[in-house]
Amino acid sequence: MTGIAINHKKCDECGACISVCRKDALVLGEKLEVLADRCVSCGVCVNICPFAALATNGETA
Amino acid sequence: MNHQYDIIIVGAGPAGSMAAAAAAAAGRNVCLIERKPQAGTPARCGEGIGYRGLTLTLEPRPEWIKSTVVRARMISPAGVKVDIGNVDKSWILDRERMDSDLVKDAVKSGADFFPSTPIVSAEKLSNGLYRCTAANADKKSAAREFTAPILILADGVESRLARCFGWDTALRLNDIETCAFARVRSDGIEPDCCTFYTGSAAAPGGYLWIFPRGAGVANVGLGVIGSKCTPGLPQKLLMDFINRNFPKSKVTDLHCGGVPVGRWVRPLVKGGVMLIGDAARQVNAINGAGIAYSLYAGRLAGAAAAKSFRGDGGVDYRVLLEYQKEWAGNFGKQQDRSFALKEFILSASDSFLNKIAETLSKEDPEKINYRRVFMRTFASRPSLFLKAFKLFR
Repeated sequence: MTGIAINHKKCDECGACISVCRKDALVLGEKLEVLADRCVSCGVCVNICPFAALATNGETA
Repeated sequence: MNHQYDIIIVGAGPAGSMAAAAAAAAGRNVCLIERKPQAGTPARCGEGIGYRGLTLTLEPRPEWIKSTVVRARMISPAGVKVDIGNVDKSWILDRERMDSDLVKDAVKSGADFFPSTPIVSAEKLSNGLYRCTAANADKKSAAREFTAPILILADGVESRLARCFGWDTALRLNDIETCAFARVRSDGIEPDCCTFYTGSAAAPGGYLWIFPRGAGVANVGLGVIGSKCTPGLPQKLLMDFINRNFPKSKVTDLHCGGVPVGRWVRPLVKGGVMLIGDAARQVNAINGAGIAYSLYAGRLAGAAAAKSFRGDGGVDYRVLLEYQKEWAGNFGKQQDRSFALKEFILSASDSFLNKIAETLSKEDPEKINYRRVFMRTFASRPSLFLKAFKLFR
């Protein structure tokens, strides 16, 4: 199961994660969303987040 | 509801607003679309700009300038201070104010401004027009659609929309600085001096900055190179630094952001779609400065877009290429040079930085300028010096 969890309380909506996502699996609309059908849980966005607002597979950010 | 325009501009940062103002002033029917309720808030920026970079495109307004910087201080990993007494005049800007004024200018020139309108998809229709669709922001109205023969994407570092037209804008981890910054109020902050900390402890693969916003208040922030970042590292390093160096200070406006530090996107124009600003990765790869590049690119792109409309109502997309040509010959060339030297700067070890700082700290500060720091850095490695010499000759 793919799973990038977003902690919206920490997310500052800066878009850094979107800029490094190779699968175009993150969208910033009203707030940040993960497109589950595209996400391969590579975790690049998790490492890049300046505020640690993202986590992989069941962990909470 | 469908809105039809000559030119759609997505993103109301400096690049988008300049493009909108230039195209609207030339008589085109322009819309400027912004995701947030207010452009420029929060300002995701160090807010520093050089005199030449700003004045190339704009007359700076007094109300934008928080401080005028005439000296700088660099602090090596071991704590050796190098005072640079002879820096080119530069300014620390109030980006929120500037961005908001630039939107007003665009509106005054005739552009329609749509705040709180996140564009989530863009496509080319069979009739040749480009269509942008906004997220259903208030859940009551239908999704808003915008169509036009020309689409200018100024949607920032995330720039998802360029991917809708086949650009691969995903950044390599060595081409992004992941940043955290805050406003710090502390008596020790000097109003006319920028301070930089380097080294793997302060900011791995980047630098930490203290940019004064007047006496006693500064924009303090840092960037970590993407390949060395771990979850939350920029925020942690920043807060540790502030607590250590400005104990009991008042810290507000803590924000984060990504800064592209790679090459500018090629091509900048495809059919009737143009990329400008952070979306085009138009940022100096060594210092992460992007405001001057964005202002310049925005105005060029807006002017080229307006000029591409023929008398018969058709559009000649070849005219749009003038933007890329002008860009490539000016700031584009400067960015290519900084990118060519970036890999070296990234690989510089703490001991190397300390050695340069020790040499420079013995020199007369009034005689040290950025060029001298640069020359000292590269003169220490003959092969690099040759490379730098060839690039900057």
